[in-house]
Amino acid sequence: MAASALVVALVTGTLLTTSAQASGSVTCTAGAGSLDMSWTGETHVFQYEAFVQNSAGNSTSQIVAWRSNSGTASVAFSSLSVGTYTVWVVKQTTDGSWIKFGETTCTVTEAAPPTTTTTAAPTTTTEAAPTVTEADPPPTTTAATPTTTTAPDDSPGSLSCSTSASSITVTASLNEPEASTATAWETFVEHSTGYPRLGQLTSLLDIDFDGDGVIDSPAGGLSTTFTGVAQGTWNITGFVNVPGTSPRPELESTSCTVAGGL
Amino acid sequence: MRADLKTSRLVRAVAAVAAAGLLAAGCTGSAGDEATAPSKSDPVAYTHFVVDQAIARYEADGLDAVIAHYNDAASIDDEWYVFVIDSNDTVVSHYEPGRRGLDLKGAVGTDINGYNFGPEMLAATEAGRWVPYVYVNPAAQTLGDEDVFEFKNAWVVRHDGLLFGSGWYVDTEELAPRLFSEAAEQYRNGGLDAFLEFSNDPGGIAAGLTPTAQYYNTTGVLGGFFTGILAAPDGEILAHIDPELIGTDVEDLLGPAVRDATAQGGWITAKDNPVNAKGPQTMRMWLIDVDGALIGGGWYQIDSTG
Repeated sequence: MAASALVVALVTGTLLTTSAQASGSVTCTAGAGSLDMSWTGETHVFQYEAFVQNSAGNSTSQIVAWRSNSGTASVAFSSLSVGTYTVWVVKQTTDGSWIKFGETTCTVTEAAPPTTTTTAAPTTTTEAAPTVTEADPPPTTTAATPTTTTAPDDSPGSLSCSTSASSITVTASLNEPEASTATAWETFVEHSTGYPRLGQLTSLLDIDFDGDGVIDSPAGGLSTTFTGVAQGTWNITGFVNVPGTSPRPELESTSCTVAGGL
Repeated sequence: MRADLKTSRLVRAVAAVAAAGLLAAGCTGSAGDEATAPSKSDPVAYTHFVVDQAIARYEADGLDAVIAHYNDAASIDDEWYVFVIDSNDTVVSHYEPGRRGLDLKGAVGTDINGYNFGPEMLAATEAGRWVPYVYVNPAAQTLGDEDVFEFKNAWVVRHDGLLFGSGWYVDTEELAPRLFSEAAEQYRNGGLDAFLEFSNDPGGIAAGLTPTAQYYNTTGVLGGFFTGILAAPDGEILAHIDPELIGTDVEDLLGPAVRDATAQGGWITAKDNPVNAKGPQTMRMWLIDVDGALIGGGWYQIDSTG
């Protein structure tokens, strides 16, 4: 399986049961190599996942946390090639169900300006080893944040976190062989009250949607930030996606406290 | 997170501090030109000293040097560290990188109990201001222990458009007797006027504690009611954070156990009240008898749901 296809499969794999079609609409605006999606937020939803799929059936997604009681949710996809995309949104409601809505099409007519960040070798048509970016520099752990203890030898790795007054940065540290074989990692941050629970799947492979040798979606790193989160203690869990391994190995969990103050 | 905090611990912390709201002692003004550091056993004086040192460093070396120095965690001195806020209300120096760049009017200006202390801090003048809130005590941190939030009293001084601040984490078991004893001394020597002057000094601890206590009293985040108190020998309440209670009888409010207060002062709890007597269901008040008058403060809860 081509690496890009594998990534797409992994990404779409995060979509759980699409239990029903909802009536909401999604507005899509195309830019130069980009798509902006927006829709009306709802009170009973705490997380959306927005999807973009090209004509070849390859897709990617982004999690959009939602805590407001009204207003518009939005998300932007960049580094897209010229072409027509099918876009939709999946909402996770407070009762835990996932509901797809607002499917529409959107056409990117102008390519994005050349980027200097796609230095990785093309990965579309070969079985090349996954391209894993350098992990982000370890964030400084706040005083309130217990650091994850060293994972046992057979652990795929561990999670650590740092906080600001309203954000959590989660960093994964992978052990071998997962460090070499993982194609993606996913983390969930859950408030100690059980609500909300937010997730973020990050591909560790570059994605070339259309096989033109140009990376459309560069691989993510081993660090991701959740912004606009509420104060309190958040439990952090995570998994790594390793081809041929099911269920996904679970990373050593940790917790972080988000608090204001000086 | 509120539920994660060990409430009893925090209540103790808040209680004595809030109780001091009318009875600040020895906490006025800045440290002046002290050349040598006062003892850390006097946290008020030491906090003044730390902030004064930061301002002196700013005057001598400039803002960049101040930022570089206090951003370094090596600058932490037990529980004391310095933070700096610029004229745009942005935190420009703090030993935690995650605090820097944040607007004090935003999330960083509200503590984990929901108290929005940012406006109080931004109101600080060149004369300085005490601003209490709940935050992490770096000296108390234990790996894996999430219960590291303590009641902090920060001294903030505006200088050259910047806010320089530092604070200490209140040990109420030590602070309350000291503050109320000093308040009692003021009353003993100068009567009610001296007591009120002492308690209402804008540079004193009371000025900062009052809005904090009012926050807890009105929201019920921790339950109960925090106040300082002064009652005349006939029992009439002369000072209380709730103006409506001034003029009422202290025994009607707190029960007959208040008459157990001694000239040395001490903690009085609801259990000290006789069974079926008037008084709160829960109470922790430090009270001292000054020639029949009662001075002190603390926390009480009229009923179990309060």
